[in-house]
Amino acid sequence: MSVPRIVSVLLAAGLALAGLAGAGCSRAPEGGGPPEDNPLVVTQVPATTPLPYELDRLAPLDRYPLGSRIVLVEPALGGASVQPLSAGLAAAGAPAVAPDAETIVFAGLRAEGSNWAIYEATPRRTPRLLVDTGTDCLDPAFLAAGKLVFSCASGDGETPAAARTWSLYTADPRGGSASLQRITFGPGSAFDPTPLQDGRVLFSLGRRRSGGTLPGDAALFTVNPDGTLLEPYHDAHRPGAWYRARQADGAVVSLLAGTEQPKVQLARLGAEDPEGRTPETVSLHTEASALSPGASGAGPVAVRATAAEPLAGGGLLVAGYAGPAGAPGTAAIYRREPGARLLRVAFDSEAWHEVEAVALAPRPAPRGQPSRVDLDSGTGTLLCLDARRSDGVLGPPPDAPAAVRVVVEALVATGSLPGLAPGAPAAADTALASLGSAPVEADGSFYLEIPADLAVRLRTFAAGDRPIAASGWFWVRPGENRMCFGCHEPRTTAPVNRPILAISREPSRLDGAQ
Amino acid sequence: MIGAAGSRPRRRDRRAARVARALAAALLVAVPAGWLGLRAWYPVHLAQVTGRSDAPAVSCWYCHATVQDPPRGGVPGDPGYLSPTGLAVSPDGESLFVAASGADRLLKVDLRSGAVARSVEIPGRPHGVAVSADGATVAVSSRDGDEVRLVDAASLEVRATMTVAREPLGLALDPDGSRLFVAGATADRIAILPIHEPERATHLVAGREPYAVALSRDGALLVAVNRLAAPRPPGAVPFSEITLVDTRRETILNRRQLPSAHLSEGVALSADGSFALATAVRVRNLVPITQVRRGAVMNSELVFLETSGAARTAQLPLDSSDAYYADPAAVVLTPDDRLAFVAHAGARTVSAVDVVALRELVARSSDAKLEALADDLGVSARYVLARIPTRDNPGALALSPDGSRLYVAERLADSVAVVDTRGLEVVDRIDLGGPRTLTAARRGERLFTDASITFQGQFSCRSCHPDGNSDGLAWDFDIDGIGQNLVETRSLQGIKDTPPFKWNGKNPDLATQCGPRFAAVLTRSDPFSPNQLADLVTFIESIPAPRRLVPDDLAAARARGEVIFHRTATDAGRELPVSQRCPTCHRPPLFTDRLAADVGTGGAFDTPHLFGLRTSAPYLHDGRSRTLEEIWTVHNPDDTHGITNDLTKAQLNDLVVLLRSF
Repeated sequence: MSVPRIVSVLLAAGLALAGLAGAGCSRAPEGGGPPEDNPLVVTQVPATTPLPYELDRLAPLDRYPLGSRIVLVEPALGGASVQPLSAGLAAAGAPAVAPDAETIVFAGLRAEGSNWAIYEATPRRTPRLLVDTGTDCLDPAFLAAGKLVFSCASGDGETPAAARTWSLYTADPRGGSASLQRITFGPGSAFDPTPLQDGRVLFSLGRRRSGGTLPGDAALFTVNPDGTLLEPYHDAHRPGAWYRARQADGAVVSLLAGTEQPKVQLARLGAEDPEGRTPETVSLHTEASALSPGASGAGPVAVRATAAEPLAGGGLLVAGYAGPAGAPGTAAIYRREPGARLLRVAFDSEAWHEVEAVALAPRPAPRGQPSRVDLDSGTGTLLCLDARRSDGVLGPPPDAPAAVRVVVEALVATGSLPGLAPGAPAAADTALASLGSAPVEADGSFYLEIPADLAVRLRTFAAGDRPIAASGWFWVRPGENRMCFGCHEPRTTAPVNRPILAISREPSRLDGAQ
Repeated sequence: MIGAAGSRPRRRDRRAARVARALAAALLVAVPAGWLGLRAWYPVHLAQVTGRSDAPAVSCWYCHATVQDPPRGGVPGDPGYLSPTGLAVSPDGESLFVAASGADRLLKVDLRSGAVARSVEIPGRPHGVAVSADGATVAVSSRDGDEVRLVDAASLEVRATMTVAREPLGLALDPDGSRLFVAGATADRIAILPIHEPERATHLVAGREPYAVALSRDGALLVAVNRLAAPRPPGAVPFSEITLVDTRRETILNRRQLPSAHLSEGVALSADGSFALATAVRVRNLVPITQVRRGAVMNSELVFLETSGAARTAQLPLDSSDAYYADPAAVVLTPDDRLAFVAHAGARTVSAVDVVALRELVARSSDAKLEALADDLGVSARYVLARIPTRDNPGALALSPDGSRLYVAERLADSVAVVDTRGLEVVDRIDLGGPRTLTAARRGERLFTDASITFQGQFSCRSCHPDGNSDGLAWDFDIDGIGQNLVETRSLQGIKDTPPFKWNGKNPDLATQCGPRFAAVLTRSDPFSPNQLADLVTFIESIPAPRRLVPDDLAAARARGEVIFHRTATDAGRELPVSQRCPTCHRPPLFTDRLAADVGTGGAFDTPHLFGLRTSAPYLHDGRSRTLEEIWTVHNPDDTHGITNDLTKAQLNDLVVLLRSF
């Protein structure tokens, strides 16, 4: 038995013993067992709560109603061992397991009316508060060296859900509040962060879902843990909402909610072709007999996922509802083994909806990334290699005239968007302002100095101020030297190796940027 | 008695006390005086030695520590790792011949048992292996011996030893066994040797550092690839070359340029010789290194080249935008030309390539489209079928005659992986033997050649320092300001005693050079752990300086060059200022005084050592000088880099001969 496996079993055993004392459970987990029987960390929502089967339709804070909790489940024991990990909290959800499987973090609500904060599950004790920014924070995930990334909302409980925007933050639980750092700067909401093996943070960026309505568009983006180099992970212009993405063995799976109908699919983006010319849809079905012994003759039943996590080796862990909408029963945890066609029930309880699960098992730690952010600097630079390089659709068409000028526009906060202090997420009320313009060289390159941590976009103009194209929103971090290869160029293109005129001189300073 | 006896010691004590007082007084005077004198003398001494008034103060040890001529050839303390670099399968498919570069041996592996059946000593770092068509003879190149040996395939008895071009690497044998074709790396030549009359060899110019060759089945066409790009001025797009040779006429058919390509180390020809595949690295050294993402620094590529007809050339990525397979080292084609395999030395991976799909892509793409595809990392998914994991540093490849088995030399694991070419997975592994323990240098070499140290595995240390040498390119690191501080890659060969490092001389030791700042500036991933850093430094310090090279016919010129190097006066008799004499800054035996100097190239830069100059072009800190001659004929108009403008052309030639011999 590997050391991490021993550690996870010991932790499970410790948690089980704690549960024996606190929850009156009659069975303690036994050691050993095949890998598929790793303990599961599960979010349970009271079955009395009328949940829709697709959680994407919920506002984030509605995902985990009062009474929801984090528990540790031992599938090897048939689910007989259920150990609460969030005892003492009014609600809990969004668990994440550290790479060494020794630590579990989750989002918790101390009491009704308080804000969501990040907690650590500690065996034998009440959960330990790790990060509390004073506003609602959810979706913690582990980065390299024990750092955490999570999403936090602007405003407070009185703010209408639709008016709240979400940003990503990082913190080192050992570093106190000084380690708290905002890493996304809007516009729109950044949520559901998850680490990629190469060290980047993968997350959803778009309009946050609001209660009872169809989801807004949300695409997958990546950003470095220090907030540098925001990039789309795939074709960001594809309609639909991509959320709850997770990576294992190089590939990423993500829930995908279409905008045409409230239908959620699980999509897979391969490591070699993450652009996914056609994202692979993962079939989620289970045997009807797994739900009801009397239904043995029925065919496979679709499982409508509320969450999914790929497992090392090709397996899949899915939380969701089986059967058609309105069917009786509760959401359960399913598992699909590598190579298997159907899901099998891993855990289900009648009194609870199991809405998400993560295996308490060691996993590869994400790589670290040295930060180049210099917080003493108020600006970063942007070098565009060739504004003429384009996909011809969103970028300038092939017959577009050459750009001679680039204008930088910023979302200036009518509230407090620029210059936010840590822990004070952005307000939604913003206005567009021009920061100034700079020349575009004959080879299509330009080189700008840009105020840091400010959502900006670029607009290029030909002679006679004829508009050519506009970029998407992005930001630069203080001291960051950001480079883009073109203007809406295909995401797979590498730079062309040629001399660049714009770097023969200092970066253009924007006259409107103060 | 007691008093008389006791008086002598007392007198002695008094005398001793007087002496001690006198000594103390003397010391009280001498030490401060000496210190003051030393302080007065030191700058004079420093100025005398360096010829400069602005030389920084350094310790006595800095210059006077015993410094040996660096080791040349071989890694000190190497316990005899085999480090296989060349593979060839016998025509009957029963034997695998392995050049064990680290152990100076040729191994014969019985493929039925998977065991090493025989071995023979091949001095001078054996590298390439080829088997004759009749299976009777094995040819092995000796990289440091400038030789090729012909070995009896059955007994491994050496039958003949032939001196060939400098640093012979890849080689091929004529189908009739009459001629050898050898890539002579540092000679920049392809040698064609009649086996029975090797003195009648033909030497063809073939780009910079020919590395591998492939011969058509009929023996009529030879294709050679070059490791390094041709030296070009800063700002110019580098290019490597593929050389096509008409072997019957022994003439060059074509030297096809590959823009932005270098480190082309593998080549294979189709069965009918109509097309070739070559490995290369596509560099983007003209793009500032502000990010290591989406191939912004480099990516692996496969070159498709038609040898006749339209003679189209396509450079196609082997990587994808989020998955990289660094340091493509070799390529082979199955007998039916449907599959190709590429070893990625920096990624512990072999890529399986669908050649049919690749050819179709080329056929339906215009030349402009092909040019665009070279920088499109999304296209590899169309022809890369599988990524097959291997052990450390896969390099040489060989296929069984029927193409069912691929043999992969895992150089730093002393093993050969056996790949099922239908299942595309490793099905067996041949342990070649060798030491089981890993020395610090060996661990360091694994780190040096492992691209996983870099964000997404995009490149390894070796990607810029092949064999510890320079890639011959200048790069723009954003940490020094974008577009303003091009720096040429420096060779690591023989640098152990030459700190400080970096062109600005800011890094006092290699641990600093390769430390966390290096990760922030270049690899953009976790820095080396302290133990890894120690191993890496041990390896880098073990990289030997290149062997000295003094061709017999140039010995006299070198001797004349030595006189010029050490001259203290101009030809006209005018005394040269100390600061303007070659050995002042390039002080033997390291050929550096380890101080920064301004030679008129835009600031003061660390004085480089001169080992291996013949292979480390271009020169000066930003690579502005393509040749050694240009340093003085173009870039020294005001005699700021030594007084040289009085030298005649012949004298300059002699000086260059000397420098190329270091």
